[in-house]
Amino acid sequence: MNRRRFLVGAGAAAAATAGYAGVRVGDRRPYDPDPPTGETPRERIVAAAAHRFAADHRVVSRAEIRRDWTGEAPYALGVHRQWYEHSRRRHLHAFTALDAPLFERVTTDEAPSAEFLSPHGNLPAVLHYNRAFGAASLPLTYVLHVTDGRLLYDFDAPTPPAGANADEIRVTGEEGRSGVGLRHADDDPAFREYVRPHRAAWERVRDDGDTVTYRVAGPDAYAQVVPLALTAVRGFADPFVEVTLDRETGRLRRVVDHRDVLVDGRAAGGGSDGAAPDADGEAGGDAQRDGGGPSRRLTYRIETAFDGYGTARAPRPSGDVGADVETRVKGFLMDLFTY
Amino acid sequence: MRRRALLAALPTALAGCSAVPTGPSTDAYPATPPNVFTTFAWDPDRSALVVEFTRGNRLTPENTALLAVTTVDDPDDRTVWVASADADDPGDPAAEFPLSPGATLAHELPEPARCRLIWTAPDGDRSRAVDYWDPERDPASGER
Repeated sequence: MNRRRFLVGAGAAAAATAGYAGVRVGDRRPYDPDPPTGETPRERIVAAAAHRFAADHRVVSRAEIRRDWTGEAPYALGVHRQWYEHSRRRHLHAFTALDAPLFERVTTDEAPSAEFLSPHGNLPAVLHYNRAFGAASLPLTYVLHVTDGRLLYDFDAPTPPAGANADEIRVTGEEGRSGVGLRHADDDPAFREYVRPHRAAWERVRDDGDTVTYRVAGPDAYAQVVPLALTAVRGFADPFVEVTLDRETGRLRRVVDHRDVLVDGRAAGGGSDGAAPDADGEAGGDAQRDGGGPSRRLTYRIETAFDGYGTARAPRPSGDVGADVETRVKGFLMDLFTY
Repeated sequence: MRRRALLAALPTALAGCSAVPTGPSTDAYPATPPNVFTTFAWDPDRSALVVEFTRGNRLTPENTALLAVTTVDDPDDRTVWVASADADDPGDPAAEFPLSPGATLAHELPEPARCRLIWTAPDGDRSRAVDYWDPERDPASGER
């Protein structure tokens, strides 16, 4: 083998290796998740909920307070924008708290469980709404980007405009963390389902040609369907859930969570006299907190729309990245070795 | 120091490394713990805190490793409600899977004391208090 042939071969091998590494780091790969299917409405709904864990898509979840004890309801509480690009193993979140009169009446010192008044049952949302308690001004936006080997976040990011695309999400003064054990699929703390596996029976309430909408109502069914861990829910008034599926694809199109519940009166700043709920808490169902303590009625309306199936992208938000060299190298290696 | 840290990181990074890309999977569903809503009542005749599973998801080994009531001031004093074969310290469970709403459990105590209902994830890595009872704060501390 002469020297020239050796150099050509070595160059080709190096180029191929670099290309393969680039493909791995960029997570370029064939990707075609099976569509959700099922025999019964419940099976189809659960399959559609699980499908989100594999399919690229966008989610916009808007939370409104329909009833509380501040005298200011109804008001828009917040928006959670999410982009899931499972095909390239990356997710992007933007939580925005819009208004928080509920939280101005109480501090977590005097009511420890007030921290769970977040409408979304995941740790980043709980922490975000805790920051909204004491924010000097609102809106307050928390941006989180998750990919293999890297998690970027900004607790006080620029609030995206209404209808913002993923590439409009920005960070300032960004903080980052990388970890060799960080994998997007397992370590996105904000990724959760809107419908849990359950045994409730659904009623078809609308059929609009392209979509079909089902509903479950009442405390027993509601408590099976909606994820309620890390929420302040202590009892139920008159909640319901509506799920809209795409008739052709079986995918989730919309979830309306009418979270009409009772929360701990202490968490709500409602005193601790043990009295039954006041005029705002007179609903049927659990007139008292499960367990018998004081409770207040609180009604969230959480409307979530799903779209961009197969096309949504979750790019890293624009802005300066503050990670050091070691963190970057570790993150790169984790991304390289995870395919 | 950096070189050592990077070398130490390599085995973890290489764990599960494959030349073939992973395909779509929904195995991570559901990501949230099951819902468990309970009521508490003190039974003076039995000197026991009676816990009733009133609402929520059916508990199975697929979503629960262990569910137990513990006394806050004495964590070793616990009554295991259900435990899977994979639970680290299953004790002597009072019931078997599946556990559905309507089930009850008695946690015997010499006198009313603060208690927690602790749920542990199937992989054993996470646990959380899904409910609590404080006889001083909770009117349900009255007789059952």
